[in-house]
Amino acid sequence: MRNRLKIERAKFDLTQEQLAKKIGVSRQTINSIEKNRYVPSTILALKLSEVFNKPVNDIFFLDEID
Amino acid sequence: MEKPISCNEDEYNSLIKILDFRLPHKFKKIGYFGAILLFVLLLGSKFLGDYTLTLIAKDVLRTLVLLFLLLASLSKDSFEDEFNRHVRFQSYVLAFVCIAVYSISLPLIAIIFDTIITKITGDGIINFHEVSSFEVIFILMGLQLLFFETLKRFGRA
Repeated sequence: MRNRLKIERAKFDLTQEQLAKKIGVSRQTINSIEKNRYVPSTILALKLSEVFNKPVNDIFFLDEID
Repeated sequence: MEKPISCNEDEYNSLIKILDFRLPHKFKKIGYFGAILLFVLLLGSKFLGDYTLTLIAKDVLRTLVLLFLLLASLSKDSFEDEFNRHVRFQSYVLAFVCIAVYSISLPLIAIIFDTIITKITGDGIINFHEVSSFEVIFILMGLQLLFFETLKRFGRA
């Protein structure tokens, strides 16, 4: 699974730390999601979609290998 | 009306509570500090000779090292979230697989080497290397902590 988290974060001019604080996770978690090293839970994906005011599908999408 | 909770749900919730049990973060530092200190003491006694510590004292120290490692393993991180929990479970799995392979392969490797050496030297003695419980638990917990810290920073979870 891939994501547009970094792009969305840049649009909102948020640092990883600020975004992490908003959704109650560590900066490391945001970093791992952005680098596609960690697939977040549905709860976390919904929290991110709420922050960016976009459907989850617009932030996360399936890769060819999925 | 209150929703009836099935027996299985109760059991599941208690299991989750046990799995999620973590000690406060300060225990991590205490655990690391105690384990390293006592391990150095044990190593020191090995190099200084057998007169420094009695066998019972060594056993007590070994148990304390394991207890301190358990404290470090069971304590919370400075910030607990789902990524940490995920990485922690992965580290337990990896450590378990590694120690299983180690415990099975080490005696075999020792026998193979002993057989080769026996053939060369011709003394006819083949020793069976028994893996001690301290060795197994110490490596298991050490690897778990190592994998946890490494996966958290560089790993793919």
